[in-house]
Amino acid sequence: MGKRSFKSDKKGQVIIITALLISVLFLSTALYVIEVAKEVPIVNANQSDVFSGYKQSATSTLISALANATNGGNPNVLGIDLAELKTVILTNSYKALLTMDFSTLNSSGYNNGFLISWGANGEGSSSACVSFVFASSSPSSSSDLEYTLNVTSTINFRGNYQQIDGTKQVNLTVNILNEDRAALAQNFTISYQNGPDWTKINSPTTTSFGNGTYTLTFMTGASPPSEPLVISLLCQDQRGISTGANLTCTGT
Amino acid sequence: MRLLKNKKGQVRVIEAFFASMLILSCLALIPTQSSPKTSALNLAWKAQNVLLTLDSDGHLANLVDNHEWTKLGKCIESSLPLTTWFNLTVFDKNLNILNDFSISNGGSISDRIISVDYICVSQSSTFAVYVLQLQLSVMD
Repeated sequence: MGKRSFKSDKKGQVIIITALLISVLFLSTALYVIEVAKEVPIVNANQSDVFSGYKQSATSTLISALANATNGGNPNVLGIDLAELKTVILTNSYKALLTMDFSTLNSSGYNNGFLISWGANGEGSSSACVSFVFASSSPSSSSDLEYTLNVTSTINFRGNYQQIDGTKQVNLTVNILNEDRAALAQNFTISYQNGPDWTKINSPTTTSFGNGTYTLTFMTGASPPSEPLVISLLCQDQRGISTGANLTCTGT
Repeated sequence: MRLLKNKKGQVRVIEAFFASMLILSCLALIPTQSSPKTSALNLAWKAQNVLLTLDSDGHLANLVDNHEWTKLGKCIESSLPLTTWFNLTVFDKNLNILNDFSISNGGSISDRIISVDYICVSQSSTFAVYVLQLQLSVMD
C-alpha cells in the first residue's frame, strides 16, 4: 500500500461533501422536529384546571345554599345563588367562549334541588343535588363537561333512658355523615317532649370520638316512669348544614 | 466506472459519517430548554392548583369572608416554592378590590408574570362570590 498524500488523493472530496450535506440535512430535520414539538398546544390541560375550579365553586354554592335553607332560609335560594355564580363565571371567562347550564333536581323527593328529610326514627338527611353542563371553545381547543353534584349531610342516632328517682338520664349515640363519609359536628340542639311542649336541654354532656360518632348524655325534668320519651335532635355539621331527626326512647 | 475505481476517499467518508454521528449524539445529550410558553403554562397550572387546594375545604373562602389578608398571604406563601414571587388581589363579584393592602411576598423578580383568575364561593349560609387574581413569576 503506497503512502497517502493529501495533495495527490483528491478523488473522494465529492463524496465527503455529499456526506456532510446529508448530515447537515439530518441535523436541520432533527432541529425542525424539536421546534415543531415545542409548539404543540397544551391548552386542553389548562382548561381542565379551570373546570376543576368551577366544580369547586359549584360545590361551595350547594353547601352555602343548603346551610341557608336548613337554617330557616329561602327554599328557592339554590337556583338564585347558582344564577349569580353563573353570571360571575361567564363574566370572568376571557380565554374561551364558555356556556354553563344547570338544573336543580325536581324528582325522587327533591324539590328545587333540595331534599330535607328529617325522620321520626332517629334518621335525618339534608341534601342538595344539581346537574351542570359546561361547554368551552377557544381557537385552539374545545371541550364539554357534564356532571351532577350532590351534597348530603346525614345523622342517625339511637338511645335509651334510665329512670333515676323522678327524672330520666338519657344516653344517645349519634353518627354524622357528609356524603357518606364520617364528619364532625359544630353543635347539637336537643329537646324532649314534655306534654304538648318541647323542653330544650341547655348543657348536655357531649363526647366526641373523632370519627363522626358522638355520645350525648343529659337529665330530663320530672316525668312519669311509664312514659316513652320523644327526643328531638338538631345537628349542625362543620359546614353549617343542619340536619334533624326525632326518636322515641324507651327505658332500660 | 470512474467512481468504482476511485476508492481512495472511503476512509474520509467514514470519518465524515462518524463526525456527523458525533455531532448528532452531542445534540441529543444537550438538555432541551423549556420554552417560555411551556414554563408560563406550568406556572399558570401551579397558581390554579394552589388556589384549588386551599379552597377544597372552604378554608380560602373563609379567610376572604373574614378579610384575613395576612393569613391568606401566609397560606399562599407556604404553598409555593421560595423562589416564586406572588401577588394576590381579591375582588368582589362587581370586581371591586377588597384587600386594603398588598398580599404579596415582595417585589417581582422577573418581567415575565403570569396571572390566573379563580372564582371562589363562600360556604357560609350567606352566599358570596369572590374573584381572586393570583400573579406568579419565577427567576429567569
